[in-house]
Amino acid sequence: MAIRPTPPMDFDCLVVGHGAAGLLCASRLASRDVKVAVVGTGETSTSLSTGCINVLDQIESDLIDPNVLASQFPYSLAGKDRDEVIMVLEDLYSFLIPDLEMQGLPMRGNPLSIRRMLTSLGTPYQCSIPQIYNLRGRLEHISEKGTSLLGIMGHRDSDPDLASRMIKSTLDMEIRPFWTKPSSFEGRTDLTACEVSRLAKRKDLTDELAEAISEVEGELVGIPPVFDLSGYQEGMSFLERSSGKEVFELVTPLSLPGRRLQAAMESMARAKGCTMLLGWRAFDVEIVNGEVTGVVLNSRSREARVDLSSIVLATGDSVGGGLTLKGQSVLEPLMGASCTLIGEDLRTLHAEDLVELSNAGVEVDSVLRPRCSGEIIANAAVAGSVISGFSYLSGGGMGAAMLTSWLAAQTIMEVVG
Amino acid sequence: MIGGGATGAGIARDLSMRGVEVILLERGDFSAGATGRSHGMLHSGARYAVKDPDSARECAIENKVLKRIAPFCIEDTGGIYLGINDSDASYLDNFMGGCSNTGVKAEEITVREALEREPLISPGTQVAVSVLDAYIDPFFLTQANVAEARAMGAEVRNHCEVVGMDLWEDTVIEVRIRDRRSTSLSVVKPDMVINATGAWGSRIASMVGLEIPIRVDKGSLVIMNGRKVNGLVNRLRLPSDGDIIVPSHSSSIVGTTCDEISSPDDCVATIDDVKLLIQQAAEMVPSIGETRAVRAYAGIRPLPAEGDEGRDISRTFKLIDHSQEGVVNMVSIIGGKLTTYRLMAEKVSDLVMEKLGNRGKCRTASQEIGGECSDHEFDLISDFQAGRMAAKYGAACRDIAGECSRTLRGREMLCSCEQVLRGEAVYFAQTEDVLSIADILRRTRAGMGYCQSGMCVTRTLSVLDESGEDPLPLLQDFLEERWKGVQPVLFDTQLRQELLKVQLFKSLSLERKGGDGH
Repeated sequence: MAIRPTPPMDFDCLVVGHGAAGLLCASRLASRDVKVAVVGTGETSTSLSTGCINVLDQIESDLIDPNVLASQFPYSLAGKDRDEVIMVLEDLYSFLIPDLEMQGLPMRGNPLSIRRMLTSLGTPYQCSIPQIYNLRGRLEHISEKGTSLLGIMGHRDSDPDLASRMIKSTLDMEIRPFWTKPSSFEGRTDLTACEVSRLAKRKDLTDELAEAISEVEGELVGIPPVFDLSGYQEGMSFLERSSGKEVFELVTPLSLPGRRLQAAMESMARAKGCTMLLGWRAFDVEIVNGEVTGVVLNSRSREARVDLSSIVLATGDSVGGGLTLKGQSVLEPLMGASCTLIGEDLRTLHAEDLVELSNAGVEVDSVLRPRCSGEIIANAAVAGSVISGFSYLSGGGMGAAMLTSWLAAQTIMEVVG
Repeated sequence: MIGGGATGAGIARDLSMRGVEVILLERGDFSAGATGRSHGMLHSGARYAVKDPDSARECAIENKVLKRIAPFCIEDTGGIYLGINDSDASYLDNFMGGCSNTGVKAEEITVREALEREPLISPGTQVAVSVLDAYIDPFFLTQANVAEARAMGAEVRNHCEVVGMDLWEDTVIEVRIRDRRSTSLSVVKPDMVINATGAWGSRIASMVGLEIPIRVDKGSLVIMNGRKVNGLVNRLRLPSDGDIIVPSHSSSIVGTTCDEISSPDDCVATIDDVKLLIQQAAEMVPSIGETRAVRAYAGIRPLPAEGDEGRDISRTFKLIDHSQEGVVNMVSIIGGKLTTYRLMAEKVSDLVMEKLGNRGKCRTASQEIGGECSDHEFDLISDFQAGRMAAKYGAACRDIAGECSRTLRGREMLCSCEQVLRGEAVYFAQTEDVLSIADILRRTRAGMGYCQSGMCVTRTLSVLDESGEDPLPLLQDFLEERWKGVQPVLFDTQLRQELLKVQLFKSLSLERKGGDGH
């Protein structure tokens, strides 16, 4: 039975999707006094990611060719040349970084320089704005100092034996592996990252870890992630103080770093005054004369209608759930926004075809508005990896997603005045 | 003994039990050819009762024998034949007649009984017949045969390719082999050569100038996510495409197609095969149509080529003594089925014993493979895990569980889809047999589950590579091989799953290579 919540909701803008793109967009709008709500359900790609913001390798590279910019280079949305793109990005980061730090997630580094860091597998990973302790893991730094990797038995996020072999063969560096067996795990071998982070709130685990870190060789010690957002800043500095060593965290997907970024961005959006409708799912959009007028939401048996003057679609790509794969074609299920057509001929998917497919998404105009049944939707904007060409596989990723969400907020501000 | 499929391993076991000194050579890994690419159906014989009575009789007998000698790797689920349209129903009398003529036990049951056993079958079912089909795991069956042959003194080597054979007049005197573990060639001087290489049999025979007419048929199969049936479900009609659903561990395998191919080496399932199989199987179990296809593979049927076409060729086997063709100490075995592997091994061994002038009776039909394994309780390992291990490894599970409980890391979950502990993989990685990630997968099922090695592959890699060599090529080889099986199912949700996997590998900086591979 459907029950309408009272009073009926009404917002200047509804952001659909609560990953990095949706939350940044909503936060920017809220900071300009737009009455904004975020709706989203389930786990986001952001929380499954490495939590590193990997934007700018393309900007740094030769791709800043005006011809490339004009055609398919995603960053061309932000400006006509490199300098314009960088100005927009500087605005974005001067908004985002202090806020994340306030939520307990210090991010460091010049957004315009790229760092190479170590993954939990021992392979090099490129990103631009790493979290503070990752920064210390940059490879130049590692090769200068004596470095060790410390594995924690029972916590499966890293295997220093394999990582050190990978480092030897891919980077030709000697890094020694060590193991510790915390008694606070009580012999358990199947702890999830979340359980580890709960145990890490107890003094006995951090004491044991600090002691193990102080005992391994080298001045710099890499560990798998053990802290969630609430324990992160304090925990890492405790480990460094007590062990007397520099401690860095390995880049690890599907673990705590992504969840930390997700949690910090959710808190940021709340702090800016966004209404968070988490657990609600948008399932129908009313479009009248080329404008979105309302959205129907549901949550289990409850149903609600939201009146709004604008909408942001930040629902993620086909992996995140914003796009549906029907056979091998890509559909946008909520608004029915028109998507890139994929060649009929993807019968045997080669590597390039898979990238092409993951790049398919919603097609937008120069200010990120989608098109439904042939007409541009004037009060809608699209943000993040749901946009065609912004897939992580072809060089997009969190940074590119955030850039579009920054620009989508711009479009919406013009709509709502 | 050339060939390490179920038949080859069975022959090695049989001959060793009769006191013959055996060396078995397998080019790749055990059960990596036709054996591992079967659907794991332990036939009751019913499938062949009408058109291929010889096969049906053999299957009916061996069904009972295998349930007795290899109970650990058999799930005795029973099977059902379903008639879902008028033409199926009119086939019933013919089918029941065939079964009773060939000694295949078959009993008509009511649709209501059928629905009680298999709640997901089509509500339009008109007739149902209960038979004695079961699931048999081809990998564990072969491993157990290999292990027992070794225990009886046989030398069994995988990753050893036969590259040539030398004749002296009418006798093979030398077999030259290349072992992947070393660079030099070595030589074996056998009294007798047995060629049990299935679809590759004519290639081995040609090394001594012989010809074996073999027709190689491709049979595509698709693995569906989750177990949709409790026992085997078959379509009540003449054997055709997409009429078998086999419950296999935590998945359902839908089979099969039947097409002739030119070479057994480049045999892959296509997206058209997959769509046909799913559409056909959904007629029997409608929810199959809504299920994620996890992987597809193509089995190879080495059939004796004697004029008939495809499904008309008998599935029975053929034993060839090459004496008449001028090579006195070589025999070949072709055709046959996984269900009849032991019978084939017995017939080959009988012939070999006769030619060697030895005596010794076959004991493989009565003696349980590896001996009984009664105690399934181990310290530090949950009863569930212990039960899983007993069902996979039979008598070897005691040693394997021991390896798991020896260290804390041994009890770590390596593959959560298939519930494989790290110690299981460590146990096999320590043996000389294991050279690659796929070798571990075939021995433990690690990486065979829903995520198709997406989450666990680096953990398997860490078990494998203790030598300090570059681990990346091992990983890339493995992913490329797995990719072949994923390609034909890349649509809808499995495509989404695969995109997640590719993103995950990218975030660990393991980017896909160009071409077909990851």
